[in-house]
Amino acid sequence: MNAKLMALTLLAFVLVVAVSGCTTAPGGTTDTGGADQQVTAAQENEVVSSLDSEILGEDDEVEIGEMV
Amino acid sequence: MKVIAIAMLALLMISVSAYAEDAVPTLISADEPVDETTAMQLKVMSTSTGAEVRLLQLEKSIDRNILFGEKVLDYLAENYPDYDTAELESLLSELEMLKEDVAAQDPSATEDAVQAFVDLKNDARDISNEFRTLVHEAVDADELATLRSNIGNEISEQMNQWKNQIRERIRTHNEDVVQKKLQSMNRTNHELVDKVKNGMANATEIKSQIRQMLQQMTPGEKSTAVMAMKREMTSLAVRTQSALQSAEAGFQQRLETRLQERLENMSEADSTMLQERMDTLGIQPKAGIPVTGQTVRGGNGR
Repeated sequence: MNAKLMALTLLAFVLVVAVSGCTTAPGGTTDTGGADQQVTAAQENEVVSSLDSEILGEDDEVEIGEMV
Repeated sequence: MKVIAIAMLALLMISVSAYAEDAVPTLISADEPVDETTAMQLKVMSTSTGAEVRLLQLEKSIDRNILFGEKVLDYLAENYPDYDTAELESLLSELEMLKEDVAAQDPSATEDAVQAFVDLKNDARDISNEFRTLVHEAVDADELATLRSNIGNEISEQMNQWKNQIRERIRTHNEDVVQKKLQSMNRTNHELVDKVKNGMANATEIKSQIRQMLQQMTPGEKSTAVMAMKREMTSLAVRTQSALQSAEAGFQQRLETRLQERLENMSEADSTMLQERMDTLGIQPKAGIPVTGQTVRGGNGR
């Protein structure tokens, strides 16, 4: 029984690693399918915070120094 | 056996979480010519609207410095009639060429636009710095503070025109960013988009609304949305990294070519300071280009 459990776990491991490997997109990103993943607060913060460098403030400037 | 099975399961979970972890590469350390601020500014240049905003902002800053430079020359002519302004005029003439170069860039060719932004921003900074140093050698600091304030007031209308033009492009850029996020989330939010379009939502409000939308999703929808947003982040980071590396790679070669070309297109009288800078950088003018004699520094108050 225990041997069966171990064999099944091993098989599951191999399958998951193989499937994960197959879904790695070009450029090194990973498509996990998403739906069965639990999003952590850190992951949510990361994607929301990325807006800080993408959204420009209306007073944003490119400084080149003063002439005087 | 149970222990082995549990260990295998733990290994399996670690393996899965490793795949799910973010694959966003960090930017390489930003040494000169791409300093930290410039590297941050490049992040929005992977889209043509973002590149257009950055190039317009650079053009505005150069135009501002040209206007300042012209007013300084007028001031010197009136108050320091014996001061030799040849070097300042030479620098101003170079800034004018730079402004034309920036205006001629195509923001839709984003990698070229990034290179041009890095190159021309560095040039503009160097030239402005040289101009400032010369002026500070000639005019007293208190007098300069008054002059700076007066010129600022005199050119405020031109600067407001620039500001309005750039603001409109910034709103378009921000709208594009929000639309892309909503697309990744497979959601629409016309109210938010309209607010961004009209400049009524800043980054804090946009983030708050995006977070709220994520929190209203089912776990499955949220996971799909976050993964899609992370893929976008990765793609953006890769594009920024690539543009940054390419801007750094040929910087010196492009600088030499650029200064040679500028020298060819300048009158001999205007090229004094450019030749001096080329000398400092160890760049020899091409054969056939007239080179002024030894640069004479001097004039009243210097």
